[in-house]
Amino acid sequence: MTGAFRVERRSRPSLWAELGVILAAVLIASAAGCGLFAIAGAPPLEALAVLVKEPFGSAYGISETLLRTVPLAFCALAVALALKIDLWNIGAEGQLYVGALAGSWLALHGPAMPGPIALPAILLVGAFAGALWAVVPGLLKVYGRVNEIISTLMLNYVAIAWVELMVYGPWKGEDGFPYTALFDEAWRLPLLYKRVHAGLLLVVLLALVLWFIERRTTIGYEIRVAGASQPAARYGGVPVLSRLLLVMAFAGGAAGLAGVCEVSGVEYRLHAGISPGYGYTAIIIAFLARRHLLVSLVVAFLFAALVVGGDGVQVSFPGVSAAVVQVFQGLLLLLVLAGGWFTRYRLVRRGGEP
Amino acid sequence: MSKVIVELSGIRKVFPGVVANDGVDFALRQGQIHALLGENGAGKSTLMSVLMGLYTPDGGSIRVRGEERRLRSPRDAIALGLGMVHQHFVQSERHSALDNIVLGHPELPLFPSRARLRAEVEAAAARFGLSVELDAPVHSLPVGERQKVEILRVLYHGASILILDEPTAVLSRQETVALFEVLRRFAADGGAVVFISHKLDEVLAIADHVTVLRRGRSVENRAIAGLDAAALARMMVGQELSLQRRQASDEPGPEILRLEAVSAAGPRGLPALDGVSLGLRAGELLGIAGVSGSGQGELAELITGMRRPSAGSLWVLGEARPRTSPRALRDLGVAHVPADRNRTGVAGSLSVLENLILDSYASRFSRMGLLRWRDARAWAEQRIAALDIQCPGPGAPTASLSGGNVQKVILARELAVRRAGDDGPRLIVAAYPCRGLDVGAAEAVREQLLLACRGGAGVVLISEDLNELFRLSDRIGVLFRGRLLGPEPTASLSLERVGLMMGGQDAPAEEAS
Repeated sequence: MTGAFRVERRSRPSLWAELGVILAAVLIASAAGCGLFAIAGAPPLEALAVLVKEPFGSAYGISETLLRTVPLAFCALAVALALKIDLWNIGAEGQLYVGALAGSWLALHGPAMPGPIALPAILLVGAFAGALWAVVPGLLKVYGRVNEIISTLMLNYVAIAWVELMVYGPWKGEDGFPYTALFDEAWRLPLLYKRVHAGLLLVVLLALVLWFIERRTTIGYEIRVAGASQPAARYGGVPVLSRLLLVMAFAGGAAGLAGVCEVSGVEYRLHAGISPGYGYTAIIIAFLARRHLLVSLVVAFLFAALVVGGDGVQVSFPGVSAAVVQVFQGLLLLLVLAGGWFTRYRLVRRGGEP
Repeated sequence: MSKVIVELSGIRKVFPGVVANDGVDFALRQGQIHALLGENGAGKSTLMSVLMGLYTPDGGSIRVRGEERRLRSPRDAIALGLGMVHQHFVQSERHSALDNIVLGHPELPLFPSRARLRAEVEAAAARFGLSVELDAPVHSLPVGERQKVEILRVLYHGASILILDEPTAVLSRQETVALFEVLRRFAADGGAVVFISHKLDEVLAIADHVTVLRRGRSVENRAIAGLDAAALARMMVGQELSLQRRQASDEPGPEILRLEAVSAAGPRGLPALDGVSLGLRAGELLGIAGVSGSGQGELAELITGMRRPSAGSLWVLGEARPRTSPRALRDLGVAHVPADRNRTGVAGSLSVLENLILDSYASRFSRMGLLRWRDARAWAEQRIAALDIQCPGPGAPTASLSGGNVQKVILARELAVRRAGDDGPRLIVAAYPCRGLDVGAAEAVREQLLLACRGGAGVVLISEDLNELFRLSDRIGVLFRGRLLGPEPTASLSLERVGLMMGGQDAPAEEAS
């Protein structure tokens, strides 16, 4: 029964094991992906080639990948930031929707403004709305001991329902479809390259600023201590509760910006399907980035490539559905999660003792 | 003599950094009530967990009824007739006592007849003289009743060897007497009992045989007959006391700490501290002994401002301070070496540097909201050198350091708490500062405490290690169930007497404090 190996805890997590795990996860997920493509009736290797080539192989592909990176990166920041203080923000999706809703409200019903005023205004309103939406679970956590995983998740449904209510109701467009009228020019983010809008610069800037706050400021230090050990933080005199609220506000703000950028940078209107689950994918991204803010940007880019590649595969091989790409993503996360064990433990050959 | 039914020989169990059992021998005979005696951390629970199949031993052998066994899980142990009642039993609160008793029985049918189960359980209860209210939901029962439910459960599941881990810790006097009656009956009926305890009077009252563990080794194995509490205390704490006692401070400084009839609320509504009074002068080292859970943690938290007294008065550094924040006290020069080193003392995933500045980042290294990392790093390097902390550098994750070096990180920080003008604490509260450290590291930590003491700081040292307390303390007090016995000058105390006080058996003459 007893094998020739026993499990031993590593004295410190091994970087090599971590890289090895990620590589192995990608390989296994790719192999499984080939199987999925085969089942869906597409030639596996060709499909895999499209998956890799589509997002980087053309100017169009690159611009699409960058375009998708923006909301994923904003939301990944929202999740990674909360993880810094050991909170699970599952609500980036809802915060994104609320940001989009608030931004759209300003664009549709706000006073007419010239672009240089309108754009900061719409961004601020969206970020503020997202922050409010995230502070609610923060308050529930601090004063009611409500688990933030549940409350942030539940608020997603509320946020999405609000957007649906507005686009199917009062804000329905003149042509009768469930989306709002197009925003005026002043409310649209400038384009940088093909369809890529200024939100890309904004998210990179935000990541850098947050990273600076985390690393260099007293507040950032307090947040990291509270995230590493709450008893130690209290012992050191860190105002833990107010830091929890602050982090949730910033996280919600980041996700709210994702929403604004989608409506004012890509769609120029609000509709119910504004996000195909960016807020949930962001959880995977933040986790894979080991909650590092700058690494989150890079991983968000890779995930965007995966999405664009997946679209490419769907177009090239009609049998392959969107679900296949999602299965692939899920598999990848699961494998990295499961592999995390190997970074903390190792197998040691048993000695002579029976 | 009745036959040996359980024999453990040469049991060795090593946890990272700690040898919990180091070649322990233990033999249990039929009909025996066998006390397993030892201080906290002596290895009692580890040994019984090995016997119950919870831990796999790193060495040694287990024989049950003459046959060598490998126990892979508690299931194996239960099948051999072993049953353990843990100190903190796990019960399904909302279910009835009956449900809890039959739960997990290996021969339970898929659709059991309640009437039959009930009859069986009642028969078992009657046989051992345990009266239990079977229909009440467990959460409504007092803790003594819940323990009876647990014992009945173990017996109903066919245990002929009953292991009780500090069963009387939660019981009143009368409940204890009733429990002993059950145990005697069980043993007379052909069962065998292992009774884990550090309460000397109870061991004398119930056991007929005793095995004493000390620092992971079995040091004594003999019949109880002819022993008294003093002899048991001596066996438990050992006599390897090195007599190089510290020179008592001749000229006591001003009083820096005073507690008068201070109480603190504890879990389960019982007071964790009950009318504790003490005083401490600058340059003095006060030792606090006691078995763990007697109120030591609460005492440390009270003095350092992490907890508020429910009654009584508290003066720290000359001022009444019933409600001061930890940070405010620290700024006055109160240092705290917390008992929970790895969670409260440091945040393990952060670097040594980040942990070193934990209580001074705001006052010392913060400017306009920015942390001055350069200054902090230079200061951290100084502290690392000053206390000779073995680490790759200030940036190394604290969790990667050995226990002794983690403790040195905490000391390096606490010994630098800032008071007006210069650095250095005026009052140090150190809870188990040397627990789990190897000899060299422990000595280094003690050296630092003494150094601070010589520099004029008052020290409250909470410890389980009597050798340490006798060597370092000017006076020693003993906590027993939240009450403080003493403190008395170390010179007037014997190791034996402190052992008795820890077991709640202070000699009557000294009771009049």
